[in-house]
Amino acid sequence: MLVVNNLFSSYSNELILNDVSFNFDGGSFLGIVGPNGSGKSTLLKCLLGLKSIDKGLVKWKSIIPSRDISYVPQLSEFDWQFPYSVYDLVESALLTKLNFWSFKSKDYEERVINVLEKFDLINFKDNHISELSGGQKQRMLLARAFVSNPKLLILDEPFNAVDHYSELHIMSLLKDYVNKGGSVIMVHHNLNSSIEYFHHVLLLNKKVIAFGETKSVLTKNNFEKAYGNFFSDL
Amino acid sequence: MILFITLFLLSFTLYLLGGVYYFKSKSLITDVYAHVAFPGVVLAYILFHSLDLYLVVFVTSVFVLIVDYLKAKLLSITNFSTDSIFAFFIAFGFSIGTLFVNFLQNRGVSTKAGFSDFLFGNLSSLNQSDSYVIIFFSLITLFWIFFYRKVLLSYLFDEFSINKIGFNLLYIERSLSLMAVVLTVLSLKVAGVVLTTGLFLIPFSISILFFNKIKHLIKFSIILISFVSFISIIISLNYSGMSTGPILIFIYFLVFLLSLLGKKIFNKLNYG
Repeated sequence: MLVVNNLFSSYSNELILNDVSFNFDGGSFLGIVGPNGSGKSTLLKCLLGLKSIDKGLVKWKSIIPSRDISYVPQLSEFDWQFPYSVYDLVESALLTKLNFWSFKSKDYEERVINVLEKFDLINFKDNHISELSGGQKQRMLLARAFVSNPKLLILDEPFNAVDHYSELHIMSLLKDYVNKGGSVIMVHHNLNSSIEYFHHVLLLNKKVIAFGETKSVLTKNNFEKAYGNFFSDL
Repeated sequence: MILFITLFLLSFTLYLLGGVYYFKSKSLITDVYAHVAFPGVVLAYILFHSLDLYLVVFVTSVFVLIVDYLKAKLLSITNFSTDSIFAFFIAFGFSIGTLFVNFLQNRGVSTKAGFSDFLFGNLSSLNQSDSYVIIFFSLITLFWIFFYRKVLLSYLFDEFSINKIGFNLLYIERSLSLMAVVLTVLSLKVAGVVLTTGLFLIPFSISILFFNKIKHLIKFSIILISFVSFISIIISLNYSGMSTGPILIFIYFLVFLLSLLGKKIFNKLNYG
């Protein structure tokens, strides 16, 4: 599904991604973990074409990124005062080149209502987006990502500002999606839950420290390489 | 009546564009356009000895778009904040404009040539042809905004979604810049160089105090703009010595202060 070869990317002459290479076949849950500033979010943006790459290759196979990928950025990247209701926000994902001029579509309306029910947000559909809690906002963004039936979900730290109950709820929805053939790439910072959540893990600290099945990657030796002395001291 | 339609359409269009820049956190850009438009107006006179509005719009828009390109270039090659770059061009625009006026004065051209109408705004100086020009460009902009409203909302909330559907982000941004530049130039004759930015921002700021849904924002803006436009025209036409720009902005600002106060009292009464 995705091939990344010798990827380099930088911000103002500071190298953020240094020779990153990995393959992702899809049909599973890939976690990207690493310390703060290790380039996790930058990697996602490079994959999506939102950040320019200095050198290297990002190649998608068997999917069309513009159609098949839904991306959920961090909560902090949105202006929550924007004049959208919960319904408006979820519906906005159904915008395509063909329907941007149309008023309402019955089919789209049903899809939005269905996804709001699935994500337990139907009672809030007319609320302003700022009126939701952190967990509800995250579920709303996921509902927006799901409504366009993507083949791949890319999530950037979806559990920031989310309570434990909401995290478990969101994880059950994501696991259900992967079990039905979907794929997820998710940036995550909690090492404990990473073992439980992901099939594969990419441990990153500007360069790839380790990549593979979760248990083979999340080892003490690799953590020391990624987190340095901080991890040894714990 | 034609003056009312002109002022209403212009103000409503600026209100919508002001909303766009408000949510893009680039409110000051309208001030940059207004200040850079000023030397463009004088340049049009230097080159063609005329202040015909079509001509002024053309020359000034070209001038502002060149500066807009330089601004974008400067932002991309330096680490300066957006505000610093904007402040730089505001100062640059006004100084060049003043130098151009000085140049004309030294050659014996009086400032009575009509520059003061662009500097301070004077609704009563608009002739029928000027009104038609303003109505024409306002309607084109309103049509564009209506046609691309869904794309525009997605662009404002989440740029990635625009990339996702394969829509050209640059097309949206360039179109918005072009429309904002043309309407800024047109509004100079109504509100003046310094105050034009107020027409973009104050009405929207008042609306967003009370409403957070698009339909409500639009409905409220129509009432607000109609009311303020009507009062401003009455004052402007009855007191010919008073410039329209300051009257418009003064009334909007008064409404803004009253709205803030009203909201505070309302919140206190309802939530303690």
